[in-house]
Amino acid sequence: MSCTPNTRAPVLGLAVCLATLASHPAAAQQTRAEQVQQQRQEKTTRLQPYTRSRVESFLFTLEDTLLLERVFNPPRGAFLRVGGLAEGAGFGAGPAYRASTPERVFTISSAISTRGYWLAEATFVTPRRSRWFAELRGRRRELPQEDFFGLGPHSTSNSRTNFALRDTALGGAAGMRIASWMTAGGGLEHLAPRVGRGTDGQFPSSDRLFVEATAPGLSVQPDFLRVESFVRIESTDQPLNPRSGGRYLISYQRYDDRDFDRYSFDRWEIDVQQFVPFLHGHRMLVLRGFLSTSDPRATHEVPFYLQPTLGGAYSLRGFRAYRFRDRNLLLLQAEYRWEVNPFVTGALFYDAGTVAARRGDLDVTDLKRDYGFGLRLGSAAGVALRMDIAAGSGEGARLVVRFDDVF
Amino acid sequence: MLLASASMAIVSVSAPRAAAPRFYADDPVTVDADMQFDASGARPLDLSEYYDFLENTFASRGDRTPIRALNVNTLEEVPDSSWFTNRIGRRPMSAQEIVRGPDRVERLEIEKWLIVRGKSPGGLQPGFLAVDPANPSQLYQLEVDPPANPEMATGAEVIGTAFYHALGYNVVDVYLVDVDPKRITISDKATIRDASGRRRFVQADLDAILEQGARLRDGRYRMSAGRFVEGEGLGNFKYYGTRPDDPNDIHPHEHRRELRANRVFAAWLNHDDSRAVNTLDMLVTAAGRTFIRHYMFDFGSILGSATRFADSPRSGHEYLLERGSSLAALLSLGLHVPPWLRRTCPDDLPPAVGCIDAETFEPARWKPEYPNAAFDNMRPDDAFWGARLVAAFSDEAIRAVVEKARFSDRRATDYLTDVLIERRDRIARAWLTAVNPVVNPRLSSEGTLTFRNAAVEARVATHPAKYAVAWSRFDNAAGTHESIAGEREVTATRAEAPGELLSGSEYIAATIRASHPEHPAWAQPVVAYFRRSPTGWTTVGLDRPFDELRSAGVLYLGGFTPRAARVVAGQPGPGLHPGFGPVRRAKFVVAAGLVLLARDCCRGHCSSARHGRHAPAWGAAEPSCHHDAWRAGSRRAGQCRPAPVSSAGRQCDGAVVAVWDGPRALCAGGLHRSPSVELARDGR
Repeated sequence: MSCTPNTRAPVLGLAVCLATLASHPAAAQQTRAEQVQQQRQEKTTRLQPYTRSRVESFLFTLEDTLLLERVFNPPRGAFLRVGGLAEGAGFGAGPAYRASTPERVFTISSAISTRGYWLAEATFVTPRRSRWFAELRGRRRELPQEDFFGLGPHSTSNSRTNFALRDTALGGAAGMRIASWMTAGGGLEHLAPRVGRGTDGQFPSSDRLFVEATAPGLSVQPDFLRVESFVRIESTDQPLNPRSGGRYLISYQRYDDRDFDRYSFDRWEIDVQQFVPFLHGHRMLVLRGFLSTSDPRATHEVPFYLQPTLGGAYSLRGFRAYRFRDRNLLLLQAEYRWEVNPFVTGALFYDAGTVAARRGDLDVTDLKRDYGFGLRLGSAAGVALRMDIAAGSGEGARLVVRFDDVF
Repeated sequence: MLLASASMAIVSVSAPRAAAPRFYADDPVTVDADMQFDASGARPLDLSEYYDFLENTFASRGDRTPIRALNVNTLEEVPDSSWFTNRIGRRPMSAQEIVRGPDRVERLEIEKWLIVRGKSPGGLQPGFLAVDPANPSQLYQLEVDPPANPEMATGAEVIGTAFYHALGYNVVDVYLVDVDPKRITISDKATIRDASGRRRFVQADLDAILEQGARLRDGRYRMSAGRFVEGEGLGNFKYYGTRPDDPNDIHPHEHRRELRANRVFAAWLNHDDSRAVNTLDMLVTAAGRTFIRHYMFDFGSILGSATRFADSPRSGHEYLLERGSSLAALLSLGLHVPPWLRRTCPDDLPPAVGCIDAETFEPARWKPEYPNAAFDNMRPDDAFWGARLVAAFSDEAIRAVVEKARFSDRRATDYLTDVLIERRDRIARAWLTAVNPVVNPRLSSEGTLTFRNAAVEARVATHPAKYAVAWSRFDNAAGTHESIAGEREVTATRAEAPGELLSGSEYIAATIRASHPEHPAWAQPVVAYFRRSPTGWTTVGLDRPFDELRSAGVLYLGGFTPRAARVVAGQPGPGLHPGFGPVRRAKFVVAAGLVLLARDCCRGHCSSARHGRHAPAWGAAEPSCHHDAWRAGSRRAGQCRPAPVSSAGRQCDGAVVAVWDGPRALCAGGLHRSPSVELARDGR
């Protein structure tokens, strides 16, 4: 039996030690205190540091080092960019690097996907915490298998083709936080899109089924100068997973054909999202209306590859991504969300929308529709995983899995 | 079966009974000298928040044996230790003393703050670490209130600190300060850690913190300033097991009374964030000894606060993750609306209040964000001990503590005061009446026994119709009682000991039970032990056995058979596992019934030799022979702890009572005839 008295109090420790030695089982304890002290004395012989299990160690490291943020979105240093290519690109990731000061952030990143999409991008944002902000950005990307089903609301699913889109964009934006809930700004960008043959061998390349008349911009692609201005109002209670409030955006974009004087157009977009809580936000009705209208200048066309699209994980979930496209688009979405627990939210949703060549032809009585059920995993800080099963489109049920919310 | 009678002999040391007397010369121990052995070898034990949540939610950590708390003395009290110092439980405290709490100064007056470090990542409340340039050795952690709820988190922090200190815990002193951003400077050496590592703390970091804080009209920011206490931080302690590197830590935390009963205090203050990661172990050297002092820490999310926003109405009503309610919500597409979701958080009150009420507060049903072993192990005797401490706070003291939060709107002070008073009373009603509330027995040298009734003193119960007192001579070495003169009834809280007992006895036991039509649990006897001393008699022991079902408000009714199991109204009580959902309850009813039936009950097999060391000198009650049957039932049921069914008679009829708590079946109990049935009838 060993005795390890409190080394910082040798005299007292010795006394305790003697007392405990005297109270060894060989000699029955005379007091309650002796009994307890004997237990403590015995424990001194088997002291050991606390050791975390592997799971605990992993989770502790995850938290202590902010590992997820460090790997995927750190304030400085090298990191891994995941996603952000285009819908239907497959899983994409690539190396990235960020240099930042409290006032400026420079990020360069790249990603390549399982379907051969790739992207390289650089952004410079300054200042970070001021009423005014400015951003410079440059991007080069290649999207080799973009789906195209033809224009208009009556395109058929069996007319699926694909095309390659390469574009280079260089520009900047600046703006001002007018109030905590309102931001206004504008931007200027040089855009150089190029269309090529699609690489998805399962479906024909778009140039085999479509021509310039049915797919404007298919034959030649000019460089564009894009000018944008916007006003954004956000009154949500929390930015990434709101339970109340709304988001409202109105933007104007002008695409100016710099080469052929054939493809210039103006675009207005209005996006209204409203989160209507009840039962303390544990149940919610979420409504969205999105309108995009493009007006080509006289004799000009809107290139098909710059036209707004319907279908996919963020619009008509019962349809494939890019299923419908045209100059004008109307999307109406409604979700009933209920909190299963703080980490899981259920959703019943209904999507409806249409596209049309002319704004007046957006027929709300003949909308494409789907409905479905979804689960979202995450927390108040945001949706980490979304699984939606959509049906009712007439083109089969679809499972949507994403790492963000629908809107 | 959670038979408190059987645990009466369990003391903090499990020595062989034959070799140990029931009482030692130093009983009752009032100080646990858990600072004696050198703990300087202990290393920091920082817990993972994720892991803490997962293991406590999905795993059943710690020892769940329903035994009496291991660190209580023979009077059922908690000795002072490195964990707990009896304050309001041992002596009256003035409101001023309670309000002062651990504070070293009445008001922290620091004109200029020098930021020396950013907060560690992970904390919810934005803030920084700073010093007074005039006294740079003393570090403070300053935190702001959320913009939408000014004064809420900081107010909760100081209120919680004062209450927990008065209750007896070690807490960090926290002060309210109004900080002028212009008087904040940043040290050249100040750093902050983010996902990319450590870097210099710069003005933009301070701006970002202040951006997330509630700003006062004069441009200043109200902040809480928590003083860094002396010693070396060793991380957190868990609510189960012991620190393997601390020689003084020998009682599994799930069996420490002050941690079990923290459930009562947490319920009162709605401290739903009471979890291991909000504790603090500090290695300190005092009086030449190096030991670990254990702190309760971080009260910013008590009351109606969730630190960054007002509490969810779920707070206190449901764990974050509960299988039953999650499934119900999922499968019903949200049409299943639990009662707490219909709560209305006060919207006509200042936002400093957050979301808290008293109307929907049911102490026994209160839950933190996720379970822990100590809270789960809380028994009626633990809850009784905790409720006594809560009941000791006067209305004036509660108001004074709430006023310490310096809410700018009087309505916040008034509302929170009223809520805490009402919640205190509900706690007293729930837990002071759930066991026999006889306390403070004293035996004068002339042989006059006096005692008090904690429930009556707390004004949550009327005086019982009568008390029955039985006397016995206690053989401390053998642990046996010799009954003297049978049971006598008294109507007041005093009785005379038989003369023949006083002479020639070294130890005397008085068995006291009460008859109250509304509180059948009071029929369970309290046994007080007295030892002869040179000046008279010293109270050395107190056993407070309880019948868990009866404590839960269950009334036993006679004449039932398993086939005709009767549903009896009852109220939930402490000790029944809060996660014990309706489905499990139903299963348990069946399982327990089958077990009892299979064993054909006990049929006269109760005997002190078999069931414990307590020969029932008092005659009326003895350890139940259903102990084993209930244990079996418990194993089958998985969750419901075995609960004793006291049987005064030796005849059991094998019948089963199903207990129904409104729409929720609670539990099942064996049924007994004679006195227990009589009591039940009284209870009706």
